[in-house]
Amino acid sequence: MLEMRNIRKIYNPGTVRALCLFEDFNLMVPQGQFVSIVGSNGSGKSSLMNLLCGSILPDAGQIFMDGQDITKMSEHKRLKRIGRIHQNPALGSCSGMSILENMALADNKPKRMNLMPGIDKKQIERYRDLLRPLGLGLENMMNARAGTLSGGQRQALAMVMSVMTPLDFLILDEHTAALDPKTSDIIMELTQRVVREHSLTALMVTHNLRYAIEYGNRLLMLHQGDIVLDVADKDKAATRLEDVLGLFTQISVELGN
Amino acid sequence: MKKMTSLLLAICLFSLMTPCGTALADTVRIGIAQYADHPSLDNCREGFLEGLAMGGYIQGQNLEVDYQNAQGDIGLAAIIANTFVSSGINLVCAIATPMAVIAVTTADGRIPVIYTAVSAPVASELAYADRPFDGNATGTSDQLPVHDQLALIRALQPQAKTIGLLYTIGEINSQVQASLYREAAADYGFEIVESTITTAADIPLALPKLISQVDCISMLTDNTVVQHLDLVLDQTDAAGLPVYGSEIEQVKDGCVAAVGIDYLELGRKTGLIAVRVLQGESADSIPFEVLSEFDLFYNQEVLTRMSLSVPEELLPLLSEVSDAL
Amino acid sequence: MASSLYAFYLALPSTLEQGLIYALLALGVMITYLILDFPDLTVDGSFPLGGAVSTALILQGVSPALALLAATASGMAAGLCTGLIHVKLKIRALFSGIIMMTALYSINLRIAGGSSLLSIPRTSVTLFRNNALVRLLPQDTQILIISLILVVMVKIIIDLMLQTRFGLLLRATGDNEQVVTALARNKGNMKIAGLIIANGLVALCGGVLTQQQRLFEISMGTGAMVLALASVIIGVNSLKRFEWLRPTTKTIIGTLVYKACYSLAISLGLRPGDMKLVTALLFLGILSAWIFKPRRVTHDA
Repeated sequence: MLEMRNIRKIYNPGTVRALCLFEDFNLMVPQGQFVSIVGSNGSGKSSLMNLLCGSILPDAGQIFMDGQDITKMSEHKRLKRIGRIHQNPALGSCSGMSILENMALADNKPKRMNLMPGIDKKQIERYRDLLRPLGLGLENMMNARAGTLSGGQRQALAMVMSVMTPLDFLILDEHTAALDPKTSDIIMELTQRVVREHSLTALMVTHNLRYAIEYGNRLLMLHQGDIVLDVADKDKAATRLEDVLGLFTQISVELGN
Repeated sequence: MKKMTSLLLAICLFSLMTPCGTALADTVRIGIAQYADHPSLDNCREGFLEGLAMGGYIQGQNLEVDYQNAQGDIGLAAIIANTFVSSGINLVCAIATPMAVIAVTTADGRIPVIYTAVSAPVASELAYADRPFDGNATGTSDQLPVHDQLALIRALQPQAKTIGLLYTIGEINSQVQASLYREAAADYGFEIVESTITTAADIPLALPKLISQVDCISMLTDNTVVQHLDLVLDQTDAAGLPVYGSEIEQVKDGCVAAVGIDYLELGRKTGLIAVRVLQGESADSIPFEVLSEFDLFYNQEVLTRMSLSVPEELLPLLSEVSDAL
Repeated sequence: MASSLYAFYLALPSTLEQGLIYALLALGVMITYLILDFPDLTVDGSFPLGGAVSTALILQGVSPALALLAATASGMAAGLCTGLIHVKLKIRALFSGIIMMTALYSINLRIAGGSSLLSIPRTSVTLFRNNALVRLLPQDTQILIISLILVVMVKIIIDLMLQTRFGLLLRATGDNEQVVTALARNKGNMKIAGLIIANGLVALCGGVLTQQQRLFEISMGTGAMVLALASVIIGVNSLKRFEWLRPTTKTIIGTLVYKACYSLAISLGLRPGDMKLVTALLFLGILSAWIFKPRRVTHDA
């Protein structure tokens, strides 16, 4: 369960360009919910993800994860239980290292860092089994460097890496934005499957309103740091693309887009 | 890979343009490694070649000389020593203490090293006080006539109380000379004030304080300070402070007077030692030599500027030196 | 021409010895520059640091092994400082190294007792002289064999280290910091660890070199980074197609090639003072001939 209370975030405080993005922002995401987040540029979608992960800190307010106050916790500590898939496929894996090495890295995540062998030979078959369902042929390229993979392959790899070890939350930060339509669909299917299989609480930021409607059981629309639309479960199921599009256009026009 | 090969080829071709002589059968090859670029050491080198000639080794006939100057850079000195030692020459002449230490250590006994202008061979571990050396090295020492210099200063400046010394903290010869000064100064009614530097760049920074504390400065054979005598004289001249040199060239350049070492003569002695070694004597069997006679030099023009004069009774002993270019 | 090549041939054993000893330096820089992607200029200071510590201790009669251990430890301390300056004070990598390199000049001078030049007497016990191992080996091969043993030992240790969990993470840190954070590891600590290891190695090399040439000179670090970098780049680039070769092997070969070029240039008559220009030209040639590394990814917008 994720909770943000009274969050305030000001960019460039004390300067001419000071922008108060979040003022008394509140959000509660119960266990197991799959939230789609949409909004125009500058609405705060990415900032929200950054605040949750800890790459930026709020000026005021608190963040709770399963009841524990993580507001002051450093980013890498938070990411023990939070997985994040970035928009840029290159950020999710090490380009210069092989698929096998990347997966071994991910597999070692909960283990103590010491001088034991980094790659456990006995696990290689298991890694292959994890890659097979993707249908991308990665299980036959274990020694290929991640840098040689396509965007879609790297995102898929990143997702598999995230859930290889126990995880509570998954944050998807426009993770299909850099992919072509067909690959995007494949990745979205994968996302759905992964979230279901591991019973994750997921937050997905997306530009694609169709995905926002089709996937997840809660829909949030952000506008200038405020939530302007929040529908869940039955209400979300009843929401149609046209409604969302209409609202979206309206607020975009307000911004002058 | 192709590019790598062609690059290597390019370097080779470029280097081919530099002349590489073929050695004649009976030619002796000598490397002269000079530590720094200043007239005293240059005189040493000239004298060395004269000494060799006196022993029958003439450049161009039966003698090949490779002269390298380290410009006061220890790193370069190390490279020069390494180059000489690995190029199969017959003998190395190392001029000045840092060069001598590096050459002897690098040669490790494989090639004889004849050093010169080394003020304190024993302290620099180039010779033993009580027994023959075992590193295949010998040479000449330019030990400073400290007592004579102090007497000269006393004669020219009867009222002076303090003498300033400026030297590099890392130079063994300077440290030894400074301690000699400290021991002898009281006998002549002087106090010594010392100022140390690490590189030439420190000279202009260290001088003002030293100048304000002393009645004159006396030069040691510190390689860095001697090489940059002009930096010293710039400030001392402006302050009207006399500087006593350690060698004739320094008096020519603007020092007021000196009990001097004739480096040409020192060089000749060194050359003669080299001749003996080339003809079969072992370097270790020859103890290092020093000069026993010193000359007194003065520079009238500078003396006048400093409002000093040579006492009547000393005049016959001194040779005047002009600001020769 | 023939005499020049003959001179090169005569100098080969010495070239090999120097190449092997300097390989330790190159391996250290390999860890920071190649693996960690951190341009660490501390090297110009930690290299002579190891030399100063080792020489000072040898002159006191300390055993060579202990002197080298102390030298390595001093290098590790230097690397730690650079790491702390970079991570905690958030100073750019390049400047952190420059700050340490500058500070170390004065520190090294102090360690050497104020002397810019120290020589070790021929009778002293060093790694290469007057010890039990040396007495077992045939006369002219002593330096070569001892250096070879040392380099091979270090290489094996590094190779093994890079295969451990820690080693994998170290490589990840240089490849993509985001991944390290995502793996819930502290990337700052990883960088510091890498700097500690690398500078320890560099200082070890300084200690070994001063024991071999029986000489410590204060300026021996000038250009150490350039030499090491050139060695790493020559090795890694020219042997790129031999993917099965480990980076450590390539680095060692690169150092040998570099030293051979150097020796060749001198044999062909170039003056000692010209050698820096030769190094620069070699470096320029290598770098312009290849695009060295795949582009690194920086943070998301």
